[in-house]
Amino acid sequence: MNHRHNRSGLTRRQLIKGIGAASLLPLVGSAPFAIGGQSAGRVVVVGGGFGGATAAKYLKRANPAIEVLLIEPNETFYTCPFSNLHLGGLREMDAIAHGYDELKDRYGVRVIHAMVEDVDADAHKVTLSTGRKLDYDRLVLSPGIDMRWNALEGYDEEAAEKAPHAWKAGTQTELLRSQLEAMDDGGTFVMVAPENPFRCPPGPYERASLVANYLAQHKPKSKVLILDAKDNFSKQGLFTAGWERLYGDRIEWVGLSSDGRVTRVDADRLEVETEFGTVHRADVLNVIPPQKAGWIAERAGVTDDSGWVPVKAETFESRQVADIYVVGDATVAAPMPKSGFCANGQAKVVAAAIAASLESRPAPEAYWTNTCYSLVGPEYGISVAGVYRVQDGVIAEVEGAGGLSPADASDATRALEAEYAVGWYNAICQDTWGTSPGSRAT
Amino acid sequence: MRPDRPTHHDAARRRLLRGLVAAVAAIGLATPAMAEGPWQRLDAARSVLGDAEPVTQGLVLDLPHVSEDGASVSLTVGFDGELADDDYISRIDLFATANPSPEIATFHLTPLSGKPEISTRVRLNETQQVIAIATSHQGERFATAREVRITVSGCLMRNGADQPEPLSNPRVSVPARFSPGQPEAVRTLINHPMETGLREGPDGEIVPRHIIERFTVSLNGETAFEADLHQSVSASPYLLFYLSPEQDSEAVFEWQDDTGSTARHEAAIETS
Amino acid sequence: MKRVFPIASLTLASLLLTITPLAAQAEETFSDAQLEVMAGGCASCHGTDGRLAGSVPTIAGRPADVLASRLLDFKHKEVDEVTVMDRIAKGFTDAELRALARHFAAIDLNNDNEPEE
Repeated sequence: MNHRHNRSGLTRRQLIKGIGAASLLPLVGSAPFAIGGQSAGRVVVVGGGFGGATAAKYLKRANPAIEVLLIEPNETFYTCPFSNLHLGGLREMDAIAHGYDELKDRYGVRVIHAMVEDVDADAHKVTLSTGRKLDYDRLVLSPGIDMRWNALEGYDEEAAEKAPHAWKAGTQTELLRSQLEAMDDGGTFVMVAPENPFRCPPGPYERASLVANYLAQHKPKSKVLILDAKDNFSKQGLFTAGWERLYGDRIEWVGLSSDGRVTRVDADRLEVETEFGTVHRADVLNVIPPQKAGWIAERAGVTDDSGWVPVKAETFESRQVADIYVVGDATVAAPMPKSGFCANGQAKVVAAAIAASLESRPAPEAYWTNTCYSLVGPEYGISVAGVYRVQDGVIAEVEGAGGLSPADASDATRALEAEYAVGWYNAICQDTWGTSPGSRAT
Repeated sequence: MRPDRPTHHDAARRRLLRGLVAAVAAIGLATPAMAEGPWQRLDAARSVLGDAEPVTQGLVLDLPHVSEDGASVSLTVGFDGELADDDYISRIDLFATANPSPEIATFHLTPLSGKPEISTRVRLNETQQVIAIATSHQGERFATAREVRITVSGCLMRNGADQPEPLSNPRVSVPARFSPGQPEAVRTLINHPMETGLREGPDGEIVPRHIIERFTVSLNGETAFEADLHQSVSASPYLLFYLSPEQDSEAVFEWQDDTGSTARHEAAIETS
Repeated sequence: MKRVFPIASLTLASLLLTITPLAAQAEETFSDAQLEVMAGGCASCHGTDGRLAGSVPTIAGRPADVLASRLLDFKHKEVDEVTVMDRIAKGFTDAELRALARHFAAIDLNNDNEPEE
């Protein structure tokens, strides 16, 4: 057998042996350091997406002796990034699917497929949907977002089965795709885009782009209408120029100041009404509603009245509850956007901070970068980047760094960025779950 | 050996400090009426207050803690405090303490307004305190402030969209029917660049100031609601306010900008 | 662990690096834990430890002087066909870029995680 050494010097065999011993002990009420003195503390991670899975892996990289439990309801995780390609008919669902074998087998993360139903921060316990209770020394919440149902009149969970949001990937993505496939040529795809802050600022506009691309090829008489609760959106100049270049007038965008804000949805009739009473009828209706932190965050007491989670800039520990760290879309981390890239990066800072905290030493200084890639077309990529540090106790963009793809870039550059977008997706998925669909042509 | 929980102790310490401050205030070392607030440090606000010490209860300013786009921050100001029976809020002033020019807007309300609550969208240059001051018909004064942190999310870098024609597309959403004594919300929107006069255009020249200065709503010729707007109101001004007509009315909505140009919208209102 | 770090290229690297005025100061060093965090964003495009091969180049195990000069070029010069690395490199000090270069150079491609396709 090939004994492979990981960074800390422990062999894989030693790792598995350690976990095997741990699983023999009852988890309820067990003292975290009872396993023959080998455990350096127990961390429970809630959520197995870009934030949670990365946190679990990087905690193990920092110190394999930390017991890491990852609680994620799904056995297969479908990524929101690149789900727009499925909507555009360019990728199958399995190309955005990721599993947890690598985290379990290579890193020794204990993965439990259940929901977390309650957090008792004082007792340092979480309660699972199975009824089981788990102790923790530190808790990482990466619960993503939940929709604010009925923030738009008439848009509740039931309505989302007729007018999907597809703002969590999986069955919603497949539902919206099947609706697009069934739409008659000449129909209108109406998208309702939310006000800030929301998950993935450029996401709706990439979606509009790739739907337009699909329609141009398969249903050329059809149109895309975006009704926006904002006057400005991410990479707006680049998107607008790209739409004109690739799709002519197929995409119409109506901003807030042109009465673009939708206040009421009728999912049965596929109609939406704006704040000044204009009614729009859709053939396929995609409502991206206002959002908030995943609901377990509120249960844990880490949300504020905005519905999002304020965190300490240096470590992403909750500002409200000790020993709970929160990463990803759920957090108030502006100017960092709500993106998978940022969740992955925040998780690494948290892993380092927790590993340091468990050893009573100071956490390293935080660094983050983000690059949001968007595909305006299969060979037309654009990006916006940012580098972030903590300045005066808050997260700030490093001046002089970051920025948009050039407005006047050549076709070759757009094609190169589209290639790098795929490379980014493969790399970040490998970094997060250890699985990668490999280089696939879009 | 469970590691320290520093946050817990810090929080306890903060609570203790706050308790001490409150105790000191209660003893009378600080007079309750002498309410500390950023309005005392802003000349424009002090001139509205005059000699009066404002009451800090009752006026509520709703703003996000953090806004990712300082060009358009949603704001709602409302009053739900105590007033004498025949008194009503007649004026609300808004200030942005760290903007180049702190006055945002002044709203003039009448008994025909019905409910002293206004929503709009404002420009905030940077992280700062926003101040609201309400004045009642009988001269009571109320003040409140909220801090807003402005970040420009890297993902939100703007390239300016096409500017529509100033004073074009006035939109008014007003209920066709009112119940007497029951104020209802009215929403208005109109295109306008609300050019501050501080911005450099693509040619390097300062783009001249061009803003809507006044918005008036009249019912059967009588002024019901008025707004004086300044450059800190976001482009394409949005105003939500309340009306409470007593009889069937012809409502006239008029916007006037600093060139003297106007736009007008009329609506018939029934009361039953 | 096999380190390829010829003295000759070290001298060349020093010559290249003395072009920037910051090289006159004492070089800041960073702990391993600090470097892990500093390098956190790199994995998103280059894979864990910079090992991934694909449209985005592998950076693990490449000579430190090559990586350093590339990063510094991204930061200070116009590089052909650059798309995003200039925007990112500008967010780090020269010392940080050099430390990152050493960090990735020291990763042994032959050991542990196999580069994945």
